[in-house]
Amino acid sequence: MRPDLLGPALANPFWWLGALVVLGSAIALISGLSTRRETRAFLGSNFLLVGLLAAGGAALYPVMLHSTLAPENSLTAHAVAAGPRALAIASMWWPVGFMLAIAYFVFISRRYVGKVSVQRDSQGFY
Amino acid sequence: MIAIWYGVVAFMLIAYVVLDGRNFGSGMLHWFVARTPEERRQVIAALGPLWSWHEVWLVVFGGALLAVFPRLMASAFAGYYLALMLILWGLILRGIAIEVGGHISDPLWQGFWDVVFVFSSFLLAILFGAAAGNLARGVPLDAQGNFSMPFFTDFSVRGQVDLLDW
Repeated sequence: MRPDLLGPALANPFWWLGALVVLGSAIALISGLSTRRETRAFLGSNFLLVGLLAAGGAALYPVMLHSTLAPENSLTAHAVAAGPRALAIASMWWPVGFMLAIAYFVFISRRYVGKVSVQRDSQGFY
Repeated sequence: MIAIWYGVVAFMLIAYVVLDGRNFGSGMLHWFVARTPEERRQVIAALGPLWSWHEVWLVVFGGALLAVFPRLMASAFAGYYLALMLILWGLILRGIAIEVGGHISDPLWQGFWDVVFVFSSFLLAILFGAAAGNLARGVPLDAQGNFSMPFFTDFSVRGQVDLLDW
């Protein structure tokens, strides 16, 4: 484990938010499994992953790739970021792509909601 | 601005891991929860229409990483080249196994693609976990931002620690 991980993590409020999400979702997961409430267990397991990854991401920032040879060789977010103009252009195309992904998400969720049916969901191939 | 973009890229990666993680789990548990060919078809039908939708988030994550943090992508993709090729082949084989496994009603055909599905799911889960572990541990980056590591050595924490080592 890189030595500069824990200190910045504890000082980052988003790390604490992630840890809180992990704790809450673990409780939801365990209670959902013990009381056979599928939705609670499902959401608990999903948010457990979300919390773990969010806490990990918060702990890593801003050193995105740590160098074990020399700390000054590490890649920070500010050092590896594209220029201001590129980021400004990305601010224009990214929301469009994100809306398309969300629209696809909503369409697929509505199309395949419910229990699995091999006859209905096979598309003839499964 | 950079912190916001970091959050955006992290959000897309988290969305991919949560969504496709379900597919990895289905693949890894495929043989254990589904004993008959009909049950295996049911497991695949549960994620058959959805797997490509989940991988959209991997594509948008990669695209945003290239656009927003290009030097990180250049360093990481060059250093992790073998692992990334294995991830690419795992994704390809998993997709093929899902899509063509049911095309022929033959036990040998479906059995073969079931094996490919399970193996590729395990491979992907292990490699993505190794990537996360390497982020937490660090890699031997030089001043130019390049690094090169063997895939594994003796899986111990002493001596030269490589991609799959602890």
